[in-house]
This record gives sequence, C-alpha cells and structure tokens, in this order.
Amino acid sequence: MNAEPDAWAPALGFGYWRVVYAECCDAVLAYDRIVATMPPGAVRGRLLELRTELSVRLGSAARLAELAATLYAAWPERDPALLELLADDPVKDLRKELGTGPPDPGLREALLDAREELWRVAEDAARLAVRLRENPIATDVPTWLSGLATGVATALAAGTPAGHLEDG
Amino acid sequence: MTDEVQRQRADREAARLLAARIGLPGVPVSMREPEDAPGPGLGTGHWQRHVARLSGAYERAALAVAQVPAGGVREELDDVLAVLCKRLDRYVHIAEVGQALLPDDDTTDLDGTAPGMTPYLDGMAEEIDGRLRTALTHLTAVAAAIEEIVSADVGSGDSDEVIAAVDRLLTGVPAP
Repeated sequence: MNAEPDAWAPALGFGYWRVVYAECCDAVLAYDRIVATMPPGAVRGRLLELRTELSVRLGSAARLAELAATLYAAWPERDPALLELLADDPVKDLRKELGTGPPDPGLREALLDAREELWRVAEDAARLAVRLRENPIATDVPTWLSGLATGVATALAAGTPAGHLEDG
Repeated sequence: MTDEVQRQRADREAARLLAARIGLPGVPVSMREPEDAPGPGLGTGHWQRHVARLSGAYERAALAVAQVPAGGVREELDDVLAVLCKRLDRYVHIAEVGQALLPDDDTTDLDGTAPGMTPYLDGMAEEIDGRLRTALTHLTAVAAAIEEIVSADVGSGDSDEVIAAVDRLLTGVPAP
C-alpha cells in the first residue's frame, strides 16, 4: 500500500521549493486518479505495481527539495513577504545583498527534472488508459506497459545531481 | 483553535498564494484544502462540459429515432443508437481520464481557471481534448443526419435507403 503524497510533510518552508515539490506530488496523485479510472484487470494491476517505484522517486524529490530549501531558502523565486522584511531592515535595504541567480542551478534543475519525469509517467499512464477505452481488446498493451516501465525507470534515474544524494 | 493551528493555516494560505503566482498553472492539488480538491469522475468543469455536449448530440439522435414508427427501419435505427450509446460511454471514460490527469472544476478557482473557462492544456491532456472535440463533431454530424433522414423518410417505407444512409454515417467517419 503506497502512502498518499503529502506536499506539507517535508520541512520546505512555504516558498518556491515547496511549490515544485507539491507539483511532483501532484504528478503521483494524477497517476493514482488515472489508474482508478481503469477497469480492473492485469493492466491496472501492473500499473499499481509500478506505483511503488514512483513513491521511491517522489521520496528522492523530497530529499532534493529539502536540501534546496535548507541551503537556498530564499531562492530562486523569492517570497514577497521575505523581500519586504529585507527592504525594511533598519540598517539598509538588504534586498541589494541578494545575488542575481541561484547559487546552485544544478539542484534546481534536478528537482525540475524530477517533476518533469513524474509528469511524463502520469501522461503515459493516461495514454494507456485512453488506449484501453478506445480499444478494449488492444493487442499492443504489453508494448505500452513496457514503455511506461521504461518511463518509471527513467524517472528513478533522473534528477539526481552528482554530489547531492550519494546516500539516497 | 490553538495558536499553532492558526499559524499553520496562515502559513499554508501564504504558500498557496505564492503557488498561484509561480510554477504550473493554478495551486497544486496536493496543497489545497479538501473542499478545493478535484471533483471525482468528470469533475464539474471542462471535462464535464465535453460530456454534456456529447450527451446532447446523442439525445438529439435519440429524439429523432423516437419519432419513427415501430418496424424494420426503427429497429435498424435503434441498433444505430445502441452503437452511438456505446461510443458515448467510451467518450465519457476518456473524459474521466482527462479529469484525472488535468482536473478542472467550476467549484474552485484554485485550478487556475474561472468557471466556464477552458484550462491551459498541453501534452496528453491536449490530446484527449482534441479527441473529444473530434468525437463531438462526429456525433453531432451523425445526429443531424439521422434527424434529416428521419424527417424525410418517416412513413415513406424506403427502409433500405435509410439503413444505407446511416451505415455510411457510421463507417464514413472514423470514430476517434
């Protein structure tokens, strides 16, 4: 039984990193909803099996987001409330102390890659669900399933920047 | 309500406001309160409207067929209606997949669209939308043709011509 993705669970503050991680969670939630539309049978069963691997990938995205939120809490999209606080500093306008780009674009890219891969898997599941509805006796389902499994494997492999998640 | 609960609610609301400005359109489903969660099945927005239009086309065909007196032609037209019903059922399921992939509901603005507005669609969601639009074009054409045939041929007894015309409708345009 896979736990439902929870966008609020990791300590991510409430800025950009939270939003991107939530969008990763949304991809898995979409996958669950798509599988729920499918008629019971072997195909649905196989998609439910693949869901476990998506949980693993989501866990890795959570760790990436936590790392980013810890190291670069104010990046790359700054929270307007934070900017106001910096501007109101009695000594000087601290907004000017902020740089112009994220200190570690690789970390951000890795998280965005994870989001993209998870959504690609959800889209593949939707494609399969539509195919089954269009043609309930489709004979190319194993090929589609194989493609989906490849997508999940790619998602598992994607978005892990070197040096960040060796223990993951 | 404790201070901690109030603080958490305020934080989450702030997070949702930021999410509405950045990232993908709307507020992520996983950040919403239950009352703003996606509707089940067809939802209450874009995908439900697709099905309402498709059902409308089917109803038009059914009303036309209902005018035909019992007999050979009526039986043939009933068979055609049964085919259309099966197709409609298939389209409903496809629309459900659309709602599952990219939920759109008129009961919340957090999905990034005002009630009645078409959501931003890309990828497979856009593909599903295209298929349903093609389905509507096809179903509407079949319904209109059935109406025309029925109004011209009720009582004429020329069943072969009616059947041939309907067959052409169903085989001439591929179902999406």
